[in-house]
Amino acid sequence: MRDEHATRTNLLLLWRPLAFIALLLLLWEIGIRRQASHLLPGPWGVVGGIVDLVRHGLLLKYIVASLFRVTWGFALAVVTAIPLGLAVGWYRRAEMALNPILQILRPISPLAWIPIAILWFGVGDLAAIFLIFVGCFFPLMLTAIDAVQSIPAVYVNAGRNFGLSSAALVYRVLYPAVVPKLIVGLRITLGIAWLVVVAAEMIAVSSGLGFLIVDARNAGNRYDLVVAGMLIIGIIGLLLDLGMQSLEKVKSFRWGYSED
Amino acid sequence: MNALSQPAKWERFFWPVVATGLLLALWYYSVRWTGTKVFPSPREVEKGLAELLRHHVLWNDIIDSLRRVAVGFGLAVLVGIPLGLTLGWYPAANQVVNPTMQILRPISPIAWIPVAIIFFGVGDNAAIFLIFLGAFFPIVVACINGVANVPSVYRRAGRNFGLTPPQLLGRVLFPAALPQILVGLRIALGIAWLVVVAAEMIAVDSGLGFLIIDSRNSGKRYDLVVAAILLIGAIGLILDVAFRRLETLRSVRWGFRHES
Repeated sequence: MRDEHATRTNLLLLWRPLAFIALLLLLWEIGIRRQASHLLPGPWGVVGGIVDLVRHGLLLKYIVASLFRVTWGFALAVVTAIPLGLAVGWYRRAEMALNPILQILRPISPLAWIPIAILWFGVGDLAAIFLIFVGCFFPLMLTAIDAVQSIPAVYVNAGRNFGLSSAALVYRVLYPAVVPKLIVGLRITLGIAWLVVVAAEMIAVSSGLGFLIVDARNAGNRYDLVVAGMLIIGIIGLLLDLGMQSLEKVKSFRWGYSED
Repeated sequence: MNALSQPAKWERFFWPVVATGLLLALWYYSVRWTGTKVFPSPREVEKGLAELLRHHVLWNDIIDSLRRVAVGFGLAVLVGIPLGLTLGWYPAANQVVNPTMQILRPISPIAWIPVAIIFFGVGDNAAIFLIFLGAFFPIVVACINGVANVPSVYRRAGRNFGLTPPQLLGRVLFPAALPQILVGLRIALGIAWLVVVAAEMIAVDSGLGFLIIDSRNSGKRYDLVVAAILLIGAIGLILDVAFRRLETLRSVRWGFRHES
């Protein structure tokens, strides 16, 4: 009896969200049918757009171009911001000194840097990578600073009292305490990187998913391709987020000092 | 928290001033040494700022940007909080809607620009729509998580005291979830500030984002570009600080936890 109930709820769990999506698609189709202008595509038009993109070999090319830029910008930010943030967080005076500058630079939309990026790097991959780097650097650095500072002093003192060398202190106390917070920060930052790359590609380069959207609109109002591009951006963003989420579950990262 | 002694009071002001001074000096001398004619020195940026102030364009742009953020963010709050609370309250409804939201959420608000322009034309409404989209999803997600994280003990206690569902929502769930909701609102406000700059670069012809693109395109006034960038940072910081103030208000700090 219970088992039967459980399988039934499982089926319902699977069935209802799909039904909801189907309903939305239906509403979309009806909405498109009813309006006179033929600019916006219906669901079928978008599927056709995706097929078109695949057939011309553009889809894969653009996805790779966007992911390439995100990978480089994000990786550069991780490699520089995290060590810097950890060091700054460890020394209170350094944190005091840099905090006002960081606080001013952080809320600047990475997109506001576009003219400067183009000035320094020209129109091209480097400008886009720079924008992603800028967008990721400040949140990551602040996360790292915060992660170090939120280690309770007791743990560090205890480590010292047990006679740990500095290296051992870093590896056995600092590192495990900091990693869970860093991973949360990395996940949020990757989301920002994905947001920035689309905008950067709309303005600064001529390939990638952001460019696809702007180009499809400007060259002949192909709104089916615009919506197809948006959908693909959403799906890839979701996959990236799920990937980072699965990192959070890796056991060796989960230590922290939290209760579990 | 490290071994160094507690910093003295004067150091709180001393180190930031030193660091900012060093940064400005570095900026100044790298502009001089590279002999660039395009990139402005700190002095020129200051002059640019003064010029903007004198011509009163600056205030109009700032007010335009802030107005768009206020309306877009306000709409997102008005729609997002009730929706998020409802979805958090009925997990079954959440399961139905969740997959759709997960796909829509990672779509960069910037990617909606072509669609926004079809719906609303070039103008304020398009920008407001983009800000709404950028702020809406983080707010809804924060509300769902906030309500879902309220310990079930509190709900049951509320029921046992004979609270009706609206009372339960208003007097137990909402206050308990409020701290988490506020964090979500603050993140959403940061995103709104990021999106408004991008939207103004593409979709309208006023505001700080437009100021940046316009100063670059009409005569390569990079002093104005950098001045506008710094202003965006400063205003973003002010918004963030104001919001943090809100979080520390007593009536908001209820949240059932560590009440002193």
